Amino acid sequence: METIILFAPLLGALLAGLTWRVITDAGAQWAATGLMIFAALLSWALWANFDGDMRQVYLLDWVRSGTLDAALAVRLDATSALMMVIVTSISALAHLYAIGFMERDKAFDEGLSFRPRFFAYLSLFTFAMLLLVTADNMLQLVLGLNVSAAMVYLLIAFRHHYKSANAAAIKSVVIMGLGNVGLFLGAAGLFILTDSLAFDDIFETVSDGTSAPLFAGLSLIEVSATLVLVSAMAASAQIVLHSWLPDAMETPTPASALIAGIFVMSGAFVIWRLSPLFAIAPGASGLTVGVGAATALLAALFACTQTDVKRAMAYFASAQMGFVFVSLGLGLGQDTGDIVGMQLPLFAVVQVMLALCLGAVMRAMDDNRDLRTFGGLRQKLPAVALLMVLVALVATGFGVSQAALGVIAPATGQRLYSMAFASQPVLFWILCFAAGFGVFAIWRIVFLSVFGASRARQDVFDAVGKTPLIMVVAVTVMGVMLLSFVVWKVNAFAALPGSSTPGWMSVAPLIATGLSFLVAVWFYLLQPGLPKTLKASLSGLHLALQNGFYFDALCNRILTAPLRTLGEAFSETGDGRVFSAPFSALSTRLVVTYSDIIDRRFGGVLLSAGALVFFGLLAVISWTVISWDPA
Amino acid sequence: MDNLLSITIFIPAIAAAILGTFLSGDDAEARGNAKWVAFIATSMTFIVSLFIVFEFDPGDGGFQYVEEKDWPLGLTYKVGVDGISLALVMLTTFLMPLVIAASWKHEDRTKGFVIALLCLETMLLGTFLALDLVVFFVFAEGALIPLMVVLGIWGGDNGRVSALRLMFTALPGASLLVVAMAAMAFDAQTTDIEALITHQFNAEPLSLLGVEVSGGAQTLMALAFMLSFASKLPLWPMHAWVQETYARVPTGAAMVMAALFVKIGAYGALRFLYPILPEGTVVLAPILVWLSVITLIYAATAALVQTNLMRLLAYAGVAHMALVTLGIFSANQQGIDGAIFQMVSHGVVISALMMSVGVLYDRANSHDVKAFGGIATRMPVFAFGTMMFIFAGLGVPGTSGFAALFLTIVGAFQAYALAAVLAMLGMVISAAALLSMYKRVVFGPLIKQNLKSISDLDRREKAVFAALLVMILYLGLFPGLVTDVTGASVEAVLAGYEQAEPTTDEVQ
Repeated sequence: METIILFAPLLGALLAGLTWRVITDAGAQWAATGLMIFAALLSWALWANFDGDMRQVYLLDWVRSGTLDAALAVRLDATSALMMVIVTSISALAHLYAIGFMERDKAFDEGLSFRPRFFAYLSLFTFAMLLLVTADNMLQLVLGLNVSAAMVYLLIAFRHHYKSANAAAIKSVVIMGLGNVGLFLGAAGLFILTDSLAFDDIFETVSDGTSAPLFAGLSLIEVSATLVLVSAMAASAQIVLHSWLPDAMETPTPASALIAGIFVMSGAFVIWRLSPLFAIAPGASGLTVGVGAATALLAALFACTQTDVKRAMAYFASAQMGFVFVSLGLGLGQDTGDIVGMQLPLFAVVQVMLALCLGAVMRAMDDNRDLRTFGGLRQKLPAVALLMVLVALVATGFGVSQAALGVIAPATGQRLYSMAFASQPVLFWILCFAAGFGVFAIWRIVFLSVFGASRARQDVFDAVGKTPLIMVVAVTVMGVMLLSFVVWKVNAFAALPGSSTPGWMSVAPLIATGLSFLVAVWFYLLQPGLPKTLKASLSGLHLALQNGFYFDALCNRILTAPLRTLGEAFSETGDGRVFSAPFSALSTRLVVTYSDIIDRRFGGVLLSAGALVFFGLLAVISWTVISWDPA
Repeated sequence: MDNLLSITIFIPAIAAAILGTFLSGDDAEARGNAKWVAFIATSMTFIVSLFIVFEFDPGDGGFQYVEEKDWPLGLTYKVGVDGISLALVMLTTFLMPLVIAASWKHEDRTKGFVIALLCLETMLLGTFLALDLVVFFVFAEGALIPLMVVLGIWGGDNGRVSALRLMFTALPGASLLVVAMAAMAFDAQTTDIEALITHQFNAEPLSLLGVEVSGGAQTLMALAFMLSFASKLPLWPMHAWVQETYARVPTGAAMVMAALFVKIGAYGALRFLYPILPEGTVVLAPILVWLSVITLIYAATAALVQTNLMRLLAYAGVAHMALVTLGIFSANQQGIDGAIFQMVSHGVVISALMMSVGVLYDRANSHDVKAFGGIATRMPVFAFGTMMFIFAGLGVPGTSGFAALFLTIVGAFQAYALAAVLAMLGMVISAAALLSMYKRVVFGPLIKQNLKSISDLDRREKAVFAALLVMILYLGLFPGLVTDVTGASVEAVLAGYEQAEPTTDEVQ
């Protein structure tokens, strides 16, 4: 069954991408979507019947070289069964949504068949993610992460007529490439350590081998784990390697939903999968916490100031993923019943649902993405508005100590925050602030887009039609999933014994989030003029935040531009003059001298003669050497 | 058949001789005949070479199908095949029919052109199969002749300058190669490569002009060999001829050069340095690893700013070839397996990319990036194929480039961790270069008038694309196809080296 789940999306992609001329545009869309729904249903069945015993399903012998031997196999355990459910169901709903959403796309002329290509990319992306989550060895992790990164590139470049889409696509490739440096070398490090790439061998070795060999003065375990962390940071858009995600929002909404919700999860998944390794690598774990906390705070701040709704959503995704990284670094991802096992599904559904709701809003607003021109859409799109509020409510409780607004179970959040406090009090406070800004960011998006008065041009607002039913259905199903998940988890975690933490510690995050919610209400519902005044008085800070602390400009200044200058220097000065000068000067002189005598047609003859001379010379040299007697 | 290897080597040369002797005239019919003869001959070579594979024993690390005949002047003709050469022979015979098919639109003195390509194939096959120093030298350096002729005649206005330049670049290395080979033959009293492998060359440190040379005579000989090979590979700073040459010659010739000719250098390094001069290789390996890294980053960075498609591919090709030397001189099983895999993969991928550029050149008569833009809408099949080729070049899993890149990096990391990091960064730069090229040529709005009627691949081009793509995916899914064949031979090659290697306090 797991094999069918894995390959159904691939089949869908091939059908949509290669045979659409035969099965028509609509046929291609439904083929891909149908197979995806099929895979989703199967993975629910698989998950429900899963007995808890890990097993491997062999697929194919893959890379072999000396002692390195990595086969392709599906690793079926509690983690991968859960992840398969998340990936396939969310992707299936995004496919369904896309059928409605892609009815029209401004980037393409009417009559062009751009849809089968889009669906093929979506299905192929899902296939790659499934390869990742069912990976049985490091090589498969590399496989899944790289193929899905390649698909993300293609998805971002989907509207390739737009310059911004192309630039964003290449940026994602470069950042994923930087992450790849870590992933490849991390895998290499683990191979040196254990002489194997299989998880079983790696976990076995790291669990009993406390004395790892040194590598440049550092423990090889730490080095490998840190390298893997780099790739996770790139995929999960964590600070320093985060800037691709906001730009990636150039792609049509169903795809950006999958990128922000599913692909961003892949980095955290890699760390989760390798948690036995991180458990004995305190340095790398600490770094994970640091990166996560920094992202949770900074990205949330960036999200609060974006005017482009999709960029706001992207930064919000980075920030929320930061919480997951903190949990992973604190060792809260050891088994599926733990915090990470609840954070990841929640993260995926929240992000995708938010994106899909906003897709409906943007579609209604004539593909505009500027939050400042939205507002008041709850009258026109009541269902979408309701679903957005639901998402925001769940997100508010996400990563928060007590049952903020009564949505999320207390036990989980409490453990995260008390662990954070135990490791570093400052971390606790950073998380409180990050949670506050995150909550503000999402309510700002919700209030600005569907509440308040409309700021759109009257004709646009009047022309807002009904959202295609299929889109509403897809998002509603997702909402039902979200709610049932929350209810299920509340029960599961309510059964856990609560830890004894001082009262103020469980109240502080609640105050932060509650306060943020109230500020958002005050700013965007009660006194809509206030943010503008605040922005004017803090214009420098606002601008800096809006531009993500000028991170892109800085990268351009210190990396991209110098690299291009260097490239010019290498090819013009280096190869144009220095390295070719001795040869070309001589050749030019020879040709110029003799070109009067020799007709151009006989160039070949000249060259053959030149070659003869050349070999004659060699023969003479060799004869001399061979007959030379040193005695 | 006990002379299967010789048959494989000389089928193209015989076809060239037949063409040269019997085909006259330069009308459309004669041109067509020339192309068909060449296509049939190269396809036959491929089919014959398949028989080598069928009977090949992958568990044996030694040479198989060995043929030995006396030549006049006391010389010996000796050929044989092991896993490493088999990989390159199959690559050559597989690509050549496709090269001929890709050159189908070449209408300028077609007969001469295909003769040059056929001669080149014989030279390349001879190089990869030679088991005698003299035979190797004749084939390896002889491969330059058809290349120079192609450059001189079809290379445009400054073709002859480029041809001479190619010669001058190769000359110092080739001369030293002769000297080193002569010294080798003199010392061992034989030119038989199999015998040379068992011969112990003097590795006592010696003093040269007051400088202590560890590894002694072996280091000097290895250096001479490498100078010749480095100009072919090419390694920085002997690489400048490449982009000049590729940009001038017709597509077919560029495909052969980038995909096959440059492999002579890497193959030579594996054939001569490791087994015959292990002590010398130990001394040179670190230098060559760092030169590879410099080459990779240098070429990838230069590729970033090219506006000529062929030059860009030339630089990208040089960068990706540097992975081969990186893997080879990492001196472990994964590194060398990866390097050989990369040789095969690079051969298929770079010729595929050049084919793509050739397709564009056939339509718009330009190699300039600025002459294109937005052709995805008009040429979807082309766009799809080229994207896959670029993915393969960058090592996306599922394509042939992945196993090559992964194994090379794992190998390099075990020996030189920093070099592996820098090489990966270089690959990121090359990714940016190739994808920005793709962006500027294929993506974007279709504005230029002359491109609005541009046609997608015709049946011939589709067939070539399909063959290359199938190979890329097949190698990507079943990399064992290559590593299983080369494994035993690589072990054999490494055996001598590991004895020579001083015990170091590197990793493990």
